[in-house]
This record gives sequence, structure tokens and C-alpha cells, in this order.
Amino acid sequence: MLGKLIKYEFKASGRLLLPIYGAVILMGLISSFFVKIHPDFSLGSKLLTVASIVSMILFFVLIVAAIISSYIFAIYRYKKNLLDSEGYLMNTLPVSVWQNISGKLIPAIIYQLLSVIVAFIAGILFFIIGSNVTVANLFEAAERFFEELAKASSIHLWLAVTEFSILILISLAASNLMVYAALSVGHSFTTHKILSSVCVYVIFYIASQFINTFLLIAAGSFFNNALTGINLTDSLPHMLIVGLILLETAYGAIYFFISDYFMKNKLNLQ
Amino acid sequence: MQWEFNSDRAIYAQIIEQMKLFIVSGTLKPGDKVASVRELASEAGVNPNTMQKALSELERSGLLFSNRTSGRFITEDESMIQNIKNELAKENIENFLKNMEKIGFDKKQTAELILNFEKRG
Amino acid sequence: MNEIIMQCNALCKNYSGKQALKNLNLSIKRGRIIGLLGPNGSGKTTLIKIANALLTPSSGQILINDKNPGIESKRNVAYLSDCVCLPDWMKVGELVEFFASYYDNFVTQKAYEMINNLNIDTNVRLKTLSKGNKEKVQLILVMSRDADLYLLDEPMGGVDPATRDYILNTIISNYRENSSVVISTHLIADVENILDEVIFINNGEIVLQDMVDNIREKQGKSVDMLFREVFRC
Repeated sequence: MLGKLIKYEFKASGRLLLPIYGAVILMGLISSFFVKIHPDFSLGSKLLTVASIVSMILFFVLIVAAIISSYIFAIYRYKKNLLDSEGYLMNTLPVSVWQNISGKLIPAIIYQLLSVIVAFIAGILFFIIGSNVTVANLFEAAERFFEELAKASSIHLWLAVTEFSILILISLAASNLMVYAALSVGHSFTTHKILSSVCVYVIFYIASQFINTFLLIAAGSFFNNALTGINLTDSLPHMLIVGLILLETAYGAIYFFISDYFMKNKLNLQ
Repeated sequence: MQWEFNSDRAIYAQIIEQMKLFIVSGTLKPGDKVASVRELASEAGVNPNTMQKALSELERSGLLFSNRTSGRFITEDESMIQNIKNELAKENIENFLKNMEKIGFDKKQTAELILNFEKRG
Repeated sequence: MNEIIMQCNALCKNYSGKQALKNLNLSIKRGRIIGLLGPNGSGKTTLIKIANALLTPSSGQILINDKNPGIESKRNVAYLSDCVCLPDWMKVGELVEFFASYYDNFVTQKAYEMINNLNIDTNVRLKTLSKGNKEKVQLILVMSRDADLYLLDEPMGGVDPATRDYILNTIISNYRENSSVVISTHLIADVENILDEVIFINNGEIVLQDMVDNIREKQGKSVDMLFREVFRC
């Protein structure tokens, strides 16, 4: 059932997001084309100069729009599909509440990641077409960069990359779930549902900031007192990332639980 | 078949009356197969349970008979149909006479009126 | 199979200080078409939403097939909401497949048959259909399920007489012996002929529950007339 919900949500979100992503790539190609045929703005046609500047601005705006819309749309889809009139359909399907929530969360994360990947690919395309750099050059440069990085620090490179990727994934999930939880709580009220949702979000935000500050101070004093004299330069970044992963997982789990509880027990569709 | 219901009597009783009318008027002929409960209910715009109840009642009275495999049929007993015809005629005449009485015609006067009406007809 | 398909025990629902349902006790048997009749704001929609787990009761209990509303009851209850709540960007055919993929008791062929009878193209998006056709499609999707209980909230709210006849006919022709259909409405005359039983609800309380034939025989008047008397302003 979860698979079906995810598939359905992919389609529903993709209707709006995929064209935007497509537009990002297209605009990247167009602006790189202008740069290619008109490399020096101080010479030649003024019209071409204007056109290439406009296309580059559009390209940049579209990248920002694609990334932002993948976040906004995640919120919009959760609200529209589960908490507004379409909720009559979705909440009477023979599926569990956690499946409905996950069915929104997983596609949202994937589209958010995709928006960054698309922006990255468009940027590279722009760079390759607009300049004389070849794809081979780029790969060589990237490899050199990672080698340098590995040499310069004592961190195990692939472990760090893996940990960092997990952290990004978990934080993305937690930030989406925070919005879901706020919406689920806010929509359990009879009136002022949106205002309530915003208030709940602010409360969650303040609470999490408070907890983060507290944990930071606690961690700081822990390292100062308990571990003086031990060489931490090797393991400190590693410990930090793992700690953050655990923290974000905890937040995600709490917000998931709140969303699940309110959707199951306090649903108030009107 | 045209179904009409008034609102103050039980619907199944009205269905029975109208089925009888369909039979004596020849809309449904002796030996004809009767449509399924669902089809009839849908046609008349009534509850299938009510239609079922009415048809069972008609079956009990012998006007319909059912064959386990092929459905319900109108009775082929012409005398039974004639009896119902007579009954309905009697009821209608009684009602008519009652109404005529109300507006001041006794049976004899009414009979005369009808004969004259026929002649002019 | 339990004879009682839905049962409410001392069911209460409060909305921001107002009691929408007051200590409601009710049982609905299998094999009947039942009218849930009451003026606007009497608690009809609240009751139906609670039965679908779209609202949670403040106190008391509602049981569908002896169980609290949940996944199991959602499998066996077909619900028509009082508004068109389908994702309108989907094509009619996609909606049929959507229902078929979630509900085991959905009869796809029946749905396509009814849609074809209306000459609705399955390749058009729902949002391009007229309001009446949207409502018909939604009803077809609900009635194409072989459910135990159909909860239809205002299925004829604001439709023209021809559409009303179509809706009633769709309900009658898809009704199955062992299932029950609950139709909530305040337009009694429209549905009266297809009902076995009526439940009058007012201010969150059951005022009367009886068979239609009983009412007509005992009172010598239609349910519509009785309703007007009971709810006279």
C-alpha cells in the first residue's frame, strides 16, 4: 500500500515540479549558448549582451525557484491531500496513518534532493558549454580535489561522505516532518487552522532551538572537562556528525509520532 | 410501464395494485416473464426490498408464479385474471357511485346519465 | 455475519463548546436502505464522519461490524462525502484505477460500464467535467464497491431532477441484499420511495427510528409529511 501511495504522490507532485526542473536545465542551456556565441560583454552587439544577462538572471532565478518550490510544494501537498477536502478520500483509504504520512514524506525528500541535483547538473552544463572546459577536465579536477582533501585531513574520506549524506537525508526528513507535525496539530483545531499551524510551528522551532542550545553547552562542557588531554582532532568531526545524525533522528521520530497521533486521534476534517 | 405512487399509503400495497392493473389491462400478458426485482425496482424508483415484498405477496395470491431457474411469470389462469378485473371494476363503480351521491345523484339518476352520455358519446 | 452493521453507544461529539451529537444510541441493520433525515446542522454529517474515522468522538463509541473505525472498517465502508473530494487533476480512468488499486471489493468493470453509459470519456481530467458529472463519477466510484455499508452524505444536494433520478437509480441498481445504505438528506420527498427505514435526527439526538411502511400504515401520512410535523419551526 505504501508503494502505491508513493507512486501516486510522485505523479501528483511531479506534475508541477518536473516542468520547473526541466525549465532549469533548458534555461542553463540557453544562457550557456549566449555565453558561447558572445563571450565578451564589452564587445559586439549590445542586444546580445542584454539577452545573455537576462538569460543568466532567469537561470539563477529558476534554480532558486526549483529548490524553494520543492519545499513549498511538500507542505502544500500534505495540507491539500490529507487535511483539506481531498483528505476525505485519502483518510478513508484502507491504509494506516503512518503510511499516508510516509507516502508524502518520501516523495518530498526525493524531489527536494532532485531539485539540488538538477541545479548542479544545469550548472555543470552551463560551465561546460559556456567555457572551453571539457567533461574530462571536470572529472580530473574533481578527483584532484578529493585527493587533496583526503591528504590535508586525517578524516577517512568515504566514511565522512557517507555520514554527511545520511545527515542531509535525516535532516531533510526531520525538517519536513516538523512542518507535517505543525500542520497536523494546527488542523485538529475547529477554527483558525492555518494560523494555529503556524503558531505550532513557531513553538516547535523555539523548543528545538532551546534544546539545541542546551545540548551545545552540555557537549562543550563535556569535552572541556571529561576529555582534557585526549587528542580529539581525529575523531571530533566524526563524533559531531554522528551526534547530529542522532539528534535529527530523534527530532524526526518525535515529529513523526506527533503527526501520526494527531492524524489518527484528533483528525478534524470539516 | 408507468408507475405512480401517492404518499400516504405503504408503497408495497401500491405496487401490488399497479401490478394488478398492468395484468388486467394487458400491459403484462398471461405467461409473460416478469422483469427481475432489481430491474422493476429501478424502473419504479422504489427500494428492491419493497419490490421483493410486493412480488412475493402477488405470488402468494397466485397471480404470479415462479420457476426456480427461469424467474417469475404472470399466471396463465385467465379466470383468475378475469376475477381481478371484476373486483377492480366493482371497486371503481362503488367509488364512482359514492362520489355521484355526494353531488346529489342517486344510483338510478347516475345510470340514466351514463346511458345518455353513451348515446351522445 | 453480524446482523447489526453499525452501532453507536452513548456517542457524543462537541465542537468548540457546541454539542453536535448528544448521547446518541443507534443501531443499523444489514439489508436495508436507511434515510438519515434531519434539518441542516442536526448532526447527520458529524455522525457519518465519525463512522469514517474522519472525526473522533468526544465520548462514547461507534462500532462497524463490532469494531472501532479503522483500516478494517474502511475496507468495508463506502463513503460518499458531501463535496467532490477527488483529486481533480486525475483523468476519470486514472481515478477508476486508483480506487481499484486500494479497494479489494471494487468492481472495475461495473465502474467502466456506468461511466460509459453516461458517455463520459475516461481520458479527460475530472476538472473538465461539469459539476453534475463530477458528482456522478464520484457516486459511481463509491457504488462500484461491494461494500457492507454505504454511507452517502447528501448525495442529491443541489442537483437537478434528472440527475437526482440518475443518482437514486444508481443506488437502487447497485444495492446488494446483505449490505446497508445510509442516505443522509433533508430532501425527504426525493428519497422516500427507496427507503426501508428512516432515522430522524435533530440537535444531535435521535427523534424517531421506524420502518417507512409502518409510518405510512400507522400514521396514514408520508414520511415527508411526518418530518414537516416533527420539525415544524
